[in-house]
Amino acid sequence: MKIEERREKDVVIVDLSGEVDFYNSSKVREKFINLVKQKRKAILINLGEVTYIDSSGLATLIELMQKLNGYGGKLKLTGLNQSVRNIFEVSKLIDVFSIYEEEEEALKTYNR
Amino acid sequence: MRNFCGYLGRSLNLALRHLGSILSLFRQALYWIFIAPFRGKPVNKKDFIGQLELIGVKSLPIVSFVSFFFGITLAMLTAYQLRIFQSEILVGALVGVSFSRELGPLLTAIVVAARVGAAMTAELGTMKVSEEIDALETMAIRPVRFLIAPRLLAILIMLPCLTIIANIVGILGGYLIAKLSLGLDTYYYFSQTFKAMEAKDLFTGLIKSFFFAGIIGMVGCYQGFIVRGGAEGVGRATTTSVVSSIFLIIVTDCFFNALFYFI
Amino acid sequence: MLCSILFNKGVSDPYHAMIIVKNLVKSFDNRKILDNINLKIEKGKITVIMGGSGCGKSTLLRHLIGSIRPDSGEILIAGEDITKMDEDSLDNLRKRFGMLYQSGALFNSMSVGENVALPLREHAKLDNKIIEIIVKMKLELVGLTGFKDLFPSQISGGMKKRVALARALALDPEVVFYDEPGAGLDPVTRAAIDKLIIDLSKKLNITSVVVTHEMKSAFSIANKIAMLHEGKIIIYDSATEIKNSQNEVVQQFIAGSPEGPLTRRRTGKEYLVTLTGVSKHR
Repeated sequence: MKIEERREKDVVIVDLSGEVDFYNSSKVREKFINLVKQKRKAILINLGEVTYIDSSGLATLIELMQKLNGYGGKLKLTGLNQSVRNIFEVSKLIDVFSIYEEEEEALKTYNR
Repeated sequence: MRNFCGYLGRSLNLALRHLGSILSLFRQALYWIFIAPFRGKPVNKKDFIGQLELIGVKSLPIVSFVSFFFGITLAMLTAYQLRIFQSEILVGALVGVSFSRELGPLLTAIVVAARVGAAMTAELGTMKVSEEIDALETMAIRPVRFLIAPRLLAILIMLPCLTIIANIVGILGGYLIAKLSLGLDTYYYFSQTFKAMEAKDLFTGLIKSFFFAGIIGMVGCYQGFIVRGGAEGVGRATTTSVVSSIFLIIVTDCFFNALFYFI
Repeated sequence: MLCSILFNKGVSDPYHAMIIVKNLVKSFDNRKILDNINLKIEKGKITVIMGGSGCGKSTLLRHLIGSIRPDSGEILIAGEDITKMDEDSLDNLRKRFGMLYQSGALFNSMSVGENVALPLREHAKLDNKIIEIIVKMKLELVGLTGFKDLFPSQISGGMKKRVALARALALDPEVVFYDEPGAGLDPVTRAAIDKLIIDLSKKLNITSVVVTHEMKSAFSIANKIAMLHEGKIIIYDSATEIKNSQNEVVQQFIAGSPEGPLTRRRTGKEYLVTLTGVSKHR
């Protein structure tokens, strides 16, 4: 699993890749907690290279969303492949998150 | 006669097999209590604290009552016999030594076996028949670590503590008789008591109490783990648990007395 | 025809077989409960083990999760023989399993939420907040959101079973074993559980092994059905093939008919022997 961070104007883009599971989701959480400490308002998570995400990974995303909502930030997801999308669907989370097909499309929505 | 011998042989065989299983379970429990925590697998803390409370705090009233009344009885019994020699002054010494060496540990162990040992068997037996223990195993959680280790550790700590309290309360019960009925002086009574009691008396009592704790904990848990046949089986196992732990406690007590007597 | 060839090829391919049972034999008190069982359970598929009471299906399930060791035979799970494994390796494998017991087997001293959280606390080093969110997600999955703080004694039998399912799914297992998942549930809840089992298999590629005697659920969820009778697998095939089977035992079981080889009537003479213990009437 890898975590990389990019900037696109005010938006922080986090690129995750590989398998996010019980063994490494705490690293993702550390990254997220850092972003929350900096009070980042616009965060986009790119799951394009993620092959598998388990419940702890999903829970980590949910916690980040909770915290962002607490100070008026926005969390968006992009790049879900079919198997990751299935995991979101079975967990009934597909409507909980703002999910976008393309990164650019997601970035545009932050400007509004 | 042959029938009787056959019965005896079979019973002995069965008893030895149970003993073997208990000892193997005991070995595993000791591993999870004393070795595994240093390898990053601590004892189930929540259960441990609950058991400390159940064994220690909740058994305290009954243990105190029993020892208090036994202290009174013992003082009266010895005063009655000592009167012949006109040496009632020795009541304090007798009560003190008998309690710290013998009665404190034994009474406490029997009361706790009936109260806590039975509860352990009933609780674990119910878990066994409702497949909870199997479920632990399939969740890769070792039942010995999760259920037996906290119970055994709790009783190993709490039984000696209760024993010390039982000793104190028993001696106070004896004092009550000495003061009210025999009219002995308070200072004199206690100075006699402590003059007669040696540290050795207290320690031998506490050593026994450790062994009694092991017996109650292991018999209680083991009987719970081998329950079969639903609620009825749990009832049967609970009775067996109390009867066999009290039996083992008395046999062990006798063994230790012989040991301390001859050494 | 082509389909069946491909299918069979898939089965023999070790990567597609999650569990392989070879020549499994188990006796209790000289009675053969499992008599030379051979079974290949495919990865990501739902396999139903069906049969009447006492046919050995629960015993077979207990072998698959490593609770019982067989007299002889092998059980390969993900390529490893669990019948010869030590407890530590077995535990490592068990962390990848989920098991739903018939009675639920919830811990009565713990709340619903604590029950679901237990495997997470024991095996995954996660923050409490994350565990709490996972517990809520799993309870939502089985339709029990909001029951987190109740105790097992305060909820119905059907709810207990659903909590137990949530607990079985807590660690996102690769294989889930179900012992009579529908027993004691109302028809709507049962259908919801069936749908969940199908979703888990189709969307998450989870391998499911379901032991049941309920025909309707079995046919609606199964990719393959193995039918056990007197300790032997008498048929192992897809649901449609089973329905078309000419085997009398299978047909009687499907039809639920009181007449047939499963309930063979004894003759008057045989019955007389049972009653009187005398072999000949003099």
